[in-house]
Amino acid sequence: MAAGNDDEELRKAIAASLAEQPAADENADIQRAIEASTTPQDLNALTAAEQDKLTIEQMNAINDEIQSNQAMVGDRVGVAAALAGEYDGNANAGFARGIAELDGKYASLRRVRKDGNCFYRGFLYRYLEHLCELQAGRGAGAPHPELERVRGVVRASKAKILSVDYEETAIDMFWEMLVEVLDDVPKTTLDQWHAKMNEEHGVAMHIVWFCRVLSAAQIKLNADRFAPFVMDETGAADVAEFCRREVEPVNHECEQVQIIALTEMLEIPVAIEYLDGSGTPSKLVFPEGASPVVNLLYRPGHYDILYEE
Amino acid sequence: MSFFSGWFGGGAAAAPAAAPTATAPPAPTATTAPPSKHCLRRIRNDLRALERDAGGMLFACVADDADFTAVDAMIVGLEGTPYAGGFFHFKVRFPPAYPCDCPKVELATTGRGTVGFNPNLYANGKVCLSILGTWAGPSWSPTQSLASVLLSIQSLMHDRPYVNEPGREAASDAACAPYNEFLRYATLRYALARNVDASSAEYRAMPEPMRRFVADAFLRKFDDILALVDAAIERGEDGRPHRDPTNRSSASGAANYGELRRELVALRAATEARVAREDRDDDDDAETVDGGAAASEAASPEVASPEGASASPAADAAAATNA
Repeated sequence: MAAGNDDEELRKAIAASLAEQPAADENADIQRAIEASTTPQDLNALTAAEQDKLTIEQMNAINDEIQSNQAMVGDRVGVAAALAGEYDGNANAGFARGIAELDGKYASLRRVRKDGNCFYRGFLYRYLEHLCELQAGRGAGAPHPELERVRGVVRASKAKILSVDYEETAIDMFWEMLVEVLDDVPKTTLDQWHAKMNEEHGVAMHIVWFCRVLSAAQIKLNADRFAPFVMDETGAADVAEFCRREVEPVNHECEQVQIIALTEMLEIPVAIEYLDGSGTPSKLVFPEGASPVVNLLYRPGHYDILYEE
Repeated sequence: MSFFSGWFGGGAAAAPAAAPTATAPPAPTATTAPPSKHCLRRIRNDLRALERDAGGMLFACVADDADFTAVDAMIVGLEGTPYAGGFFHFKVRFPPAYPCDCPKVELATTGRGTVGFNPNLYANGKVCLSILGTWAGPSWSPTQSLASVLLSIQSLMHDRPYVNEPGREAASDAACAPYNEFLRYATLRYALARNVDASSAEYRAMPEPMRRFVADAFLRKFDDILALVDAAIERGEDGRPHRDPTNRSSASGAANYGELRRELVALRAATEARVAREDRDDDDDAETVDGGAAASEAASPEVASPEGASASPAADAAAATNA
């Protein structure tokens, strides 16, 4: 059981963000693409099961296309330059105003692949990039205190994860890879880190998925506190089932709950700028009052990385 | 069927008939990077865990020691279900990004493309399961494993599979009965008799350790299996039309339980003879080669017998037909 004021903070943060945001759905792009695509079949003539099958196949095809066309993490580009084109002709002038405001506040942006892992991927990329920068500043000397701290947290995470009923054989190698990546920070250049995070079927996909386990474990370890935020449409709150359906699956988009859980587990704060059509981006910081290094841009359904300078 | 094309070899095996309602599973993505050491290590762990926890109802082995990404797996039909007495052979292919990507799983036991054994198991071999990305619902996560995939499939093969089809969840027992009757015969005919018949393409398509697993289980459970046949005859199902009331199978003709009974008796004799011969050969090997654990290792998921051809399929075939 967590202390009462933690509970209150979590409730406030989630309620605030949910009130401000339209229901986010990372699959919105995919769904739109499916609806827009012309299919030879008459959809009305298909059974529900056949329609499901068609949807699944089309989603798989679109996911394959995303994989072959989008870098996992792109190069740094100007905010306005990166985003303006996407909203050309958008009837809602709020987007253009919001982009202009973000462009004034942030120096650049890195696009993250739109595959449902964008929050975890963007978060991990930026944080580790920052660690590499910190460590580079100290030369080959002793590890930076922040590196030491996070190494300790990650090493200790395995016991926590196993305590909430994950199989060691299932999570072991993912944990090992993140431990190894952290151990290697002192000899990793920014270019090497960028390359590592863009290698298909490499370390990146493993450590990105491991973030899901860290998040899920934090939710399970604090089940009482998180339960009110994981209710399904019937009002039932089964934390383990929520993790199975909404956190663990590869490529499943991320909501506020997962973000808060991950930032708590690793004790790494994150700031998120929410850009919608309202004209003024709103910034939320988890936990409230922190000064995060990791800044992300959220547009309905997707996260990218923002840089202040 | 690009993925497992060529599975049934040539010869006696007819090409699987095109299933009426199902299309072939999507071809694997173009990326054919070799599996990483992590991928291979995880597959090995999965096989080991399966061996430890399967309780005789699941089995898996690598078909080729040089390629751990291709695994043959078997689900034993549970008692009290229409699948009782059956051995369901699945071809499992682990992608290079396993376990971040889900395995591809295809059912090889389909009566050569004529039987849809379940609303989620198509006659063309397709397995519809949300964690495999082929059905709506919770999707794949690396917390899943070979064992959990097989257990999930086994859980679809329950006593009222008719209700697995969306929209039929509330079907009565009476509504379920005709499909169960169809499945009981299809199970004994295609998932049992074919898989223990050394002259069949299905038998030859199994790796050696799997053949032995099936043979041992068949002999051990033979009385129970015969009781299933006799119970069907008692219910008056002998000679009734063998037809899938859900129209997902092209199998036709009559449920000939009398003939099936005679075949099973003959297959038991042939299987006993074959097993005895294999054990004798193994003993001989053990004497000439160093080390005597060959017989017990035959059923181990880790060990694919290198001398798969030591039993003579031709002799077994003769025994089966003559008996």
